[in-house]
Amino acid sequence: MIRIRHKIILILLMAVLLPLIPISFLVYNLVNQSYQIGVNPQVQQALEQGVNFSKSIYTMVRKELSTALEEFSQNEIVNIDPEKLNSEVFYRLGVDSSYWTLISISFVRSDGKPGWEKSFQGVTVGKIDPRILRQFRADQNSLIVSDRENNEFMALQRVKASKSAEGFLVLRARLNDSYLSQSDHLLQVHQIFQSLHVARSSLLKSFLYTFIAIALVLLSIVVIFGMWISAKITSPISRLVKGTAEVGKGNFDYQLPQLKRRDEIGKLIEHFNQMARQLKINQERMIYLEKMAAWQQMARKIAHEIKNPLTPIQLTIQQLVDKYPDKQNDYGQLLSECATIINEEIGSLRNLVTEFSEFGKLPELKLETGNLNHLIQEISPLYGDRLQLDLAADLPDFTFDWDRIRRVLINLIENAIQADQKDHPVQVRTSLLGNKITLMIEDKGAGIPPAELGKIFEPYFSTKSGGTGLGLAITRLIVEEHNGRISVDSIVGEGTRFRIEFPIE
Amino acid sequence: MRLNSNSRWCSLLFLILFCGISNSYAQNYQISPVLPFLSHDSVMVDIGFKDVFGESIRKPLLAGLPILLHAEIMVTSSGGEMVQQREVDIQISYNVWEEIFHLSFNNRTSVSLETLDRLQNWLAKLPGIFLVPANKLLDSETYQIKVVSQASILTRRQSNQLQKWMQESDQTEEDSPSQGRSTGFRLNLNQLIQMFFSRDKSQEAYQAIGESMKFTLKDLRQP
Repeated sequence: MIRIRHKIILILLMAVLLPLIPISFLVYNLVNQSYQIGVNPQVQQALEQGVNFSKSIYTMVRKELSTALEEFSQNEIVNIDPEKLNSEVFYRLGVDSSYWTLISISFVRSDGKPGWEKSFQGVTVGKIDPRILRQFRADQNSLIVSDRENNEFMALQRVKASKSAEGFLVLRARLNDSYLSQSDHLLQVHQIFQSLHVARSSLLKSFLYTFIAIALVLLSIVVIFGMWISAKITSPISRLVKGTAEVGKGNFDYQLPQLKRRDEIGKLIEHFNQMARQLKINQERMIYLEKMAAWQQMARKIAHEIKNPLTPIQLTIQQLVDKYPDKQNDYGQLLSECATIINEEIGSLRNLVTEFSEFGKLPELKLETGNLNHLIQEISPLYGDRLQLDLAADLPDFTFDWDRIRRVLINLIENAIQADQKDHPVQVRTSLLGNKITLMIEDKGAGIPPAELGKIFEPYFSTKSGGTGLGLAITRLIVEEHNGRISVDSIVGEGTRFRIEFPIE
Repeated sequence: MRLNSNSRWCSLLFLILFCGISNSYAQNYQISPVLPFLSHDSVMVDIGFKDVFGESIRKPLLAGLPILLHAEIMVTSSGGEMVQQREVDIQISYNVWEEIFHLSFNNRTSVSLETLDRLQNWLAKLPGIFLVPANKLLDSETYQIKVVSQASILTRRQSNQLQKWMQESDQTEEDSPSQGRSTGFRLNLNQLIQMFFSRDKSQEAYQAIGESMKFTLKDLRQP
């Protein structure tokens, strides 16, 4: 059975795996192609060009700041009134107002001490970090310091108008936030595409691993499902295998536990149990019929051996009585009494021989179609009010031997009447159950002790004085010959019920 | 026989599933000769990296992605026993807007360089690296220095950014129509992919290995 289980699981696995193999190829290629569509060289090139373009603008606008400051420094710095300065001066000198917001212009002396300052935004600007001034090389006149992260830009211009005006002009400005964020975003996307390009292999692997993980989960589910379904299919089959082995050994009492399922497996188990039951009935019937055949043969022999000497014995006794002259003396009277007793016993033996003979030579069945109710109604007048009939109105006709079944009925009814000393009516019931006609004869007599209940259908077993013990044996034989079944229930002190089932077909 | 047949099936299946996955990167930079020397009773080593900026590293670097050069320098005895181990970390980044390279050496030395050539020159000969006091080594023993280096392109920050990008792509308008008929159970495929992706970092790294000649302390003392 384990092999069947393995086969079922293997078949289910193959059913999942076989489509999985082309699908895995397909998925891998699909992911690969999707990746190539998304991260293709043209997109990367466009992004790179976008970053370069953004960088050119950035360089250009910073240059504007530096150039404007340089031009501004050409003026007479000494005579400048800072209060009169405004940002328009620098915008006129070429600073693009759409990019730049000017914050302040200030003058710092060469030694780093603050000179003058004009704020364009109404905020006080802090001191300049001396390290910035130290970045100036001797031959360098201008410098741009950028803090892009904080959006703080500074253009510095060395001025040397006079000794008192020697130092640096510092123009502080802030770039348009929108430009900065857009260009930063562009760079970020470019970096992500570069990362994707770098991580191509591991990314594709990740997709494949994900696919494999999902496939493994599915496979696990299939295996578990396969195990469950194979166990569901094979466990009743295993039981059937064991059951057939038991039945094969002759154990017809073996029954499989009935399943609730209504499918073929459920039906199979139901039919198996039915088959085992039927085999048991057939076996019992066969054993019984064989036993009865042996009894019948013996009965025939006994009848033959006893019947032959009875007539010579009877004639001899009669001769002895007839030849003795004085019938009135004591001996004569004794002889006459003995002859009477012998004749009575010979009569009994004749009756016994007749019954044995009838039992031993039961004629062939004369099957005719008839109705059991009619037969019961025919014999019921013989017993008057001792019978209480309860006959099913819809009882169908069936084929049976009218005379033999009549004998069965008479046997059972008379037994019932004899068993009940209080003259309760004997109940005779017929009914139709499925494809069986059921006949029940029930009395309220003394009942049969359980120890004797199993023997009552045996030949020559009788609880009645003077009974031959053949009545119930013949009854059962007749029922068995009609493929019927007879059973008895009895409770001592309450009564006995005989039940006969005749199959219609 | 049956088992062998099953094994063959399994092997074939795995071969099919995993074929094409393995794609190892070629080593595209080298470690210049590893030269140990003695300085103030300490054994030091000169190492450098050559041809670091091949296209696969240069392009991400110029896009602003930082590169991490990590090297493990091991002093081993003739029996193969490790005597000392030092680690060197060099982080290189490029400021796209200011067009300047920044280099951080073991988080101590910071250098700004204007061109890639200068950066390459700087890396070609790193400042002498202290390995071990000379008195810790035996005069009679023969030693060798091994350098295992790895250049990682995708740092943790970049990987996280990439994962964030993938996660954001999961919340596009494509999801909206399906939300109405959501059953409550939703397989987040992206997170599943990221789970595997975040575990696999080795593929974004390049390796180089170098080793010195075998030497004794006496060899180092000679000019």
